[in-house]
Amino acid sequence: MNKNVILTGGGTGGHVYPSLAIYEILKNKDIVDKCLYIGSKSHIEGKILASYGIPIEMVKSAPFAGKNPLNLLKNSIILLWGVFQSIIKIISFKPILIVASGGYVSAPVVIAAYILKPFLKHKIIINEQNVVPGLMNKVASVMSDVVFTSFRESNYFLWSKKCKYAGYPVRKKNQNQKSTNKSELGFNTNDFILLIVGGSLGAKTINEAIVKILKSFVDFNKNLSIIHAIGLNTSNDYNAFDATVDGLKKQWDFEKSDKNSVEITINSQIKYYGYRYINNLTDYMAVADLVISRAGAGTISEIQSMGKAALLIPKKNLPGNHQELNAIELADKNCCELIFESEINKIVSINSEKLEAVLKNMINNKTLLEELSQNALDNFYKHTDEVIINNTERLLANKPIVFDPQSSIPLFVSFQNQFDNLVGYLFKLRNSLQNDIQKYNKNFYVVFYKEKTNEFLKASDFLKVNKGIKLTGALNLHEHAPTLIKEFSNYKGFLRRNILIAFKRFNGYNGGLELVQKGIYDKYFEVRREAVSYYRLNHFSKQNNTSEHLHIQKRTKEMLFSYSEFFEVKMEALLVYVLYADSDEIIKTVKKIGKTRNPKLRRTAINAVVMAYKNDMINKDEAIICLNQIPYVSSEFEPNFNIKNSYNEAINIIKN
Amino acid sequence: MIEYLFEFFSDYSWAANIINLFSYVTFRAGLAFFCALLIMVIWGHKFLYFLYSKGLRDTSGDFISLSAFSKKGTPTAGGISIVLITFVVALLLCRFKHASMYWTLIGFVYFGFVGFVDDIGKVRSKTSLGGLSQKSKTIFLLVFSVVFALWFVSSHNSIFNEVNRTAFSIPFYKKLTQTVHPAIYFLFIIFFIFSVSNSVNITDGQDGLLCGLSLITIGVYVLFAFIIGNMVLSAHYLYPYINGSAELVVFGATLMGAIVGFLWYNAFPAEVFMGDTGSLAIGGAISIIAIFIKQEILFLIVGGLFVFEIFTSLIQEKLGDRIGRRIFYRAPYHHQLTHLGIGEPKATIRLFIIGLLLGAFAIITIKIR
Repeated sequence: MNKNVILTGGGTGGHVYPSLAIYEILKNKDIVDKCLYIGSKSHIEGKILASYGIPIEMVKSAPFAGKNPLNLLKNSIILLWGVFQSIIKIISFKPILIVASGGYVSAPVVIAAYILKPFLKHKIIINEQNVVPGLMNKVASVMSDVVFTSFRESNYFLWSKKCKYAGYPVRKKNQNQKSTNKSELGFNTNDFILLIVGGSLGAKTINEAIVKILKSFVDFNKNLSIIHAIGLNTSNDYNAFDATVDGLKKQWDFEKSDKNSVEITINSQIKYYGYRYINNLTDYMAVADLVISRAGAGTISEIQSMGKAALLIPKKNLPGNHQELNAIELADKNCCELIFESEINKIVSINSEKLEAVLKNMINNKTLLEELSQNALDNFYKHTDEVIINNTERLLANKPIVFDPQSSIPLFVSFQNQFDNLVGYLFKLRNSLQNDIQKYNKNFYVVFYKEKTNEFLKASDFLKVNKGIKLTGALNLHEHAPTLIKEFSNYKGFLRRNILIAFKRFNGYNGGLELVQKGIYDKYFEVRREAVSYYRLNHFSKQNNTSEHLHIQKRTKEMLFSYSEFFEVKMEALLVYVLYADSDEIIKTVKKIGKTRNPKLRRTAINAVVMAYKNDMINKDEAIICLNQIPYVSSEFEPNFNIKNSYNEAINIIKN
Repeated sequence: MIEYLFEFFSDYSWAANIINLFSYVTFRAGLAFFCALLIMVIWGHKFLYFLYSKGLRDTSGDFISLSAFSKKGTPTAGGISIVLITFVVALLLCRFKHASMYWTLIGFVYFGFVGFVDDIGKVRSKTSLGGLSQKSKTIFLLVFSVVFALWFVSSHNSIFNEVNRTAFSIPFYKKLTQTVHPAIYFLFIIFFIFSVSNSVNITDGQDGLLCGLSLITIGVYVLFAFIIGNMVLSAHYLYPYINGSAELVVFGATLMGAIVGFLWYNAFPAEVFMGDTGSLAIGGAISIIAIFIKQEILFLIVGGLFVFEIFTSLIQEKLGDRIGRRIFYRAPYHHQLTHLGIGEPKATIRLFIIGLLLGAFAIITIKIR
């Protein structure tokens, strides 16, 4: 039997390298032998594969995206033609295995392989490198025999449940790279090498920030070589190399410069090398002492596999903020440092002073760098090869594979689905870390969302302001309180209510009485309810007899006895009333409230009696008289499912 | 259709009697009702388990739950059984002489299918925001409504003559109204189907609520269809005789049987939900039957609760988002009842009582004209 394998996938370098890595891993163990790559030469894979000596053939393909129906139709026809071509190639090459890594280039091959599976009996493997798979891989996962994921959360998104976590497959050349010398690349061994990478196309914000801070290194005292891979982007919006060189030209004289590179002497110890594209990037990464890069899945994995210290700058405004949240998870484990991009007036940029400070601190702090690189290496999943080899062998021998269990919903997805999930998470975080304020302030979620709160509160859309208000409460941001108090009357009903709820969540804040005064006369009942509740929790005290407090208390009494007041407001008013009224009045009021039909109000009356008793407003006998006047018969109930209880208990026992 | 089977035995005398029996609409309706009911009840538990094992479980847990307990994990998309069983039994026992039967059955199954796709999407994405978006659901429903409305106002519609086709029949009035311009009636049909389906969909929020209310609605419409489809009765009660509505009685009875069988399992606390599959299908069936017997305006009375629920829902959503505050405590209305402290089963039964009263009132309109 032959041992042929077909590799496919492409569109960007991020799809090609993992496929090659898997091929190397399988070839080393003699599971596969000959290889054919099906892609499209005009894209990057053509350039990369040429250097590996792997034959490449082309089929037609087109992305199935966008809303234009004509376009979709045209692309579907192209895709169909590509499927025909792939069928012919698969039949003539007779592979035992097809490895696809996503990207629309792999679509015709995977579809053709699926159609031919019952006849040719080959196996289909998909490799997913991102946390959130693209549409192609979601569809392809159903047609495959196994999907190797690089993140445990990926199996939440894939349509097929045949997933196996394998980590990110790294090419062998990388892992033995540690032995590359700095001198092989032309540097002195005691040079500190700072490598800046923004992806093959380049990152505009990173490039611009680097241009800004270079000047500050004139007085920096260290042997430093700054290597900057600027990027291949030459679109109308942003021509990476030209724009960066223009920016540098204004501040520096170039020592050397040509169409693709530029060299600047900053001072006697520091030199800057800017390249449009670095071919042997992995060599440079292997010798780097510090890497600045984006937080994409592939980059992170390569950095970790080499155990490098990194400063990550995740790309802002990706769907669900997933690159930022991914990077936060790593930074929490102390595997890297993190800087967030900020957005002012719809322009995204990096705070250059912050970048400069963090950078210089890291360069000078040898222990920090060692710690980061060691943690990164430890965090790297080292069993990728094993998992891929074992499962592929079993697959080819038609033995069953144990797939991963369904992973629970990833945090950033739950945040995206319901904003309140995020608010609840941050609030719980604050409560659990209330004894360690320092640790809480350094938590990257807190840092990230504090920044986002500033943006939200300045937005013009009232839904976004609403989000900002909720975050203010969860994160205990007192600095926004004065603005919120000032703007209170201008906001819509939901926002006014949420401001009061946020104030209730503050720790150690004593202001806000004017909000209570405005709130109790508000025309929206939920605001009145929250105002009274806030007053009781934060401001009420028996000793305080100023005129404002007396006025507020009089108003709550009015609300309690008013016929047309909403029951939710009456519930809160009752709870305050029993804290300052006489015992006679309490008994009379409770008797009156007890006659109401609403069981929730009656339940609150019972709680109020208990509270009055605990605060010595009424004695034991009076409390019992009160309770007797509240009928406890109602139809509001909470069922208790015996079988569900047993099930949950069983799960708890067995899983712990 | 099952009559054709007996025609093979037309030599035997007992076969002739049975065929005679089958010509009565009431007999076929009753038989259909009991068949559907028995099948649903007998195989209900196996079907339930089938849904559970295929992973079609309810996931409405993301939002703050309005009931005190969690309904997560209950098998959903039970409407599949309603649609399938109604389809099979109706196919067997109805006569397909008139176009009304074809359209009703096709519409019913199509709406159920759209709901099914939505349910699968919700289950797969594990939140109640998944599934078809508002826009795509609307487009799918509109596709059928437009085609149906076009056929109805055109001259292919042989059930109605030119005069009656685009006239309305208002309760309490003896005659049909003036003929309305076909374009207006066309738009009206689309609007009617769309709003009825959506209001029925929204009412499906508590255990057994939609089952009971739709039983009442369909029951009243079956009664009207029986009167209108019977030459003697329609003349007596001064309704225009419509040729195809006798078969709608059988279809309606099948659907009622299936719903009662579903209610056997869906009553509080529910072991299965019907999901969008069932509610869209039932909404579609109600609207198409109402259009064929020309009793659309009657829906305001007999389906008054549906109208009220979607009214509260729309107001809370559109007006509330515009001015930034709640209007009702909760919308749709059955959630408001729960929020006020009335327990869920009691609220359901109270809504049944109101529904029965409305249904009785609708039946009274036969007499008071």
